[in-house]
Amino acid sequence: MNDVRVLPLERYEEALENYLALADESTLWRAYQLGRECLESGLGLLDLVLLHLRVLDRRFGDTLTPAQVVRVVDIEAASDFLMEALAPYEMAQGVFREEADVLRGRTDRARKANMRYRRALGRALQAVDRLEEERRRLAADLVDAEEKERKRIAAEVHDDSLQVLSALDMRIQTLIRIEDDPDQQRALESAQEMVRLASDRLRNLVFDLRPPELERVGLGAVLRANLERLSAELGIEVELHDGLETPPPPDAGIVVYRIAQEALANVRRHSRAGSAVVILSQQDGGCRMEIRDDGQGFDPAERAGESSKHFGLTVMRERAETVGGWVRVESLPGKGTMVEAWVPGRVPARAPDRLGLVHATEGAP
Amino acid sequence: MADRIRIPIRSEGDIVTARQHARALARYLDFSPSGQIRLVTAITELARNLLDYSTGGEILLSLASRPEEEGIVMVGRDQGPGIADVRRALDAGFSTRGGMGLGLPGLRSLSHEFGMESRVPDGTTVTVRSWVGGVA
Repeated sequence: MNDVRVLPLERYEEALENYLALADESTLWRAYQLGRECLESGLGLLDLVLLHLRVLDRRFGDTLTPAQVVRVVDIEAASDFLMEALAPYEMAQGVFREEADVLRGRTDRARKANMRYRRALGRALQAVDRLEEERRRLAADLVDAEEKERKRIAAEVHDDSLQVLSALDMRIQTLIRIEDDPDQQRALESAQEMVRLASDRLRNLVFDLRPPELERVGLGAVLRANLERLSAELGIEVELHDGLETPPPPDAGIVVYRIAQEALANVRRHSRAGSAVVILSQQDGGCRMEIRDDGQGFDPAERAGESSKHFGLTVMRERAETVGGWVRVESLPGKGTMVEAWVPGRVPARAPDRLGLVHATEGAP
Repeated sequence: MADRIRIPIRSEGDIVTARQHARALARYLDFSPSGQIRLVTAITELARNLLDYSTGGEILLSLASRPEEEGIVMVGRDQGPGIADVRRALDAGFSTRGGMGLGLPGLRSLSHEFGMESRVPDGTTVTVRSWVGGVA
């Protein structure tokens, strides 16, 4: 942009003089050209008018003598000249007004579009929340149903199968007593042993299936019993460090117990470990459990989907999530396996169930 | 007065001719003083555009009429090279050649109706109408 302080004073005066002398379109066009030049050089509208007035002053200022009267026609012509010089400014103003309207329209549209997107995003997030809530509820229902089914099977085995085996045991006992032939006696004793072995196994199954009596004996004691059974079965070293100060709420306690069961079952089935350690501790207002073995381990990355299915990791995770907790598994081939779980000290309320309850209560007359 | 005038635009001198015709027609139709200046400004910009962005062309000036109103229609035409992006050419600040890029948007803001057609490489036609009573 040119220096705005350089006023085209001489050229303007010369052009005006020419117009006053000739008063034709060609000389008037010069006014328009000068006006457009001033506009493009950044000269202000008022500066252009002042320029015109200064030229008028030089042209007419000292002519007000009796001898030289200013011609009215010259004043009119000078005005026409000024109007023509101002015409480019008029045009620019029109353009800027239109541009401003366009910009305003664009801003409005952008603002409206932005609001639409935000509303849509809000709805999508709500839908995600609802789905997540629904998924949690379904998982919790599944865990509930599973616990009930385990309880039912345990009761059935305890009240029926074990009773039948117990009766069979007594019947064999009677037969041994009345049998005289030592060979037959030995055969009956061997059969009795197998019946008792079957009974033991079924009792273990009942023990595993039944909800643990956490409130009566505590999580630590129940886990100790499991570890001792594992040690007796596999002949491995076991350790339990129970640093729990406050027991987790019943729901969370069962979750921790079932996760431990799953993890210890993995130790039994897959690990070929020589020792297993369980650590219970208080952490972040909840209960943390760590189960570590020195077995063969596995590569979690290599068989992510397969191993998580195989080792029941998905089930562990879902169980932990139903009470607002989490599960983490670390393992490397040859480096053993570590399962870490955490459940909160206070189990979050299950909103949908509560709502259902409220509706049912309110609906009743 | 002829109701259709053809003005070839090949040099700056032709701009003066165009302005003369436009002013005469505006006076004849009794445009207001400011309306006359706007119309002359419009034809000046149209002619300038033909000279600056093309090798020249022509302007057809004629009377326009609609019920109870009279006006002027100006058609500027060149023979190439045409404008590839007409919408961008109408953005203030857009110019293929420096300057303020006020020409076409200015022409549009000065007239009541504005139309532009361009085809590469056939050339560009700009049509504007201004009515005596209208406000630009």
